[in-house]
Amino acid sequence: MKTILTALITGALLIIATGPAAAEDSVDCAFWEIRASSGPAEKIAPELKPLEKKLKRPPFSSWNTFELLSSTRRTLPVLKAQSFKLTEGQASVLYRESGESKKKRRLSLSVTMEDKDGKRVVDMKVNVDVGDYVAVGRSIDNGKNGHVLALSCH
Amino acid sequence: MKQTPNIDLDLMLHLDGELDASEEGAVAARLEERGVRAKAEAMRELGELVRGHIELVTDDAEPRLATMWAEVAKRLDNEDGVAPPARAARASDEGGLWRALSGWIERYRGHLLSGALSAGVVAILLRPAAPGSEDRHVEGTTAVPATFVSAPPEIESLDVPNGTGSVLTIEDEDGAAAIVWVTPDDVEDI
Repeated sequence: MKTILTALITGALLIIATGPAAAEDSVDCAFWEIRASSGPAEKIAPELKPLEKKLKRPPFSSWNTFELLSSTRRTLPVLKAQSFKLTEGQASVLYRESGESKKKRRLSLSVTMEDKDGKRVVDMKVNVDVGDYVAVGRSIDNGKNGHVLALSCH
Repeated sequence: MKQTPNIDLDLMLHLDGELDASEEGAVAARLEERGVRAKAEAMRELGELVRGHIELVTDDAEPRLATMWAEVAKRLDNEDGVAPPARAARASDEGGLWRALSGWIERYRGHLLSGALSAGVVAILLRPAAPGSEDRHVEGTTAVPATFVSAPPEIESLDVPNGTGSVLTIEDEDGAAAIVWVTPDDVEDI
């Protein structure tokens, strides 16, 4: 009986210890608004250096010029949506919660983006490790250019 | 035996063989009832299942635990042998404590190991019920991301009101990225 009690108590402690981490109060996120186009020579804005390798792969490889339209850094408190203006519309991000991935803190975010006419482009929920990226892209200017909103949180 | 409103506890004690003769008699009488008998059978089967599982886990872990224990015992022995001179003044007290502690561990080693193993099994069995471990469903027009060793970004839900969305995952040394590419229903509207 003592063994069973020990087992139950230790089991409960193990469950508590290995349970999901409580959500952090806030998270710092960086946002990059990018215009993709085709030019005579490859050109990537220096601020987009961390994304350079990804911008050379599909679906971005259709273009070779990536211009930074706007960028911002925000501290997102948990469950408080933050909206910000984009050159080509507006976006809002909600930090919902965080947990533990295999090695890193994993964030749960809601992201919405609207075009410059106020039409909803996308509304999504995403789970991403800190330091990884999420990007929403679409064609603009009758498919000639691309518009991308990328974000990464720490 | 006390007449408890719930027979469950009595049945559990009966199945564990922890009732005295008079209590056994009372429970045996109750076992004539169909519902009680069925419940007792179910409890017995569940108990056997759990015990079987624990035995299997214990058997699997026994060689590893034996090695670990040998290592712990060796270290405890070494600890006694190489106590630094600065601690010599406290050696008698600490030695007593250490000895008492190692003696206690030695005495209850079996209980501790069984308890830890059983706790592990309980934790594994109960883990799916822990908060935050529920399955998540991807909705919308998403492609299910491939499984990677590290956890790539995962689109939990996607709503593209005026078009369709495609999800790609890119991984390189700079990190992983989930790309949602939106194709409008009517390209002329752009």
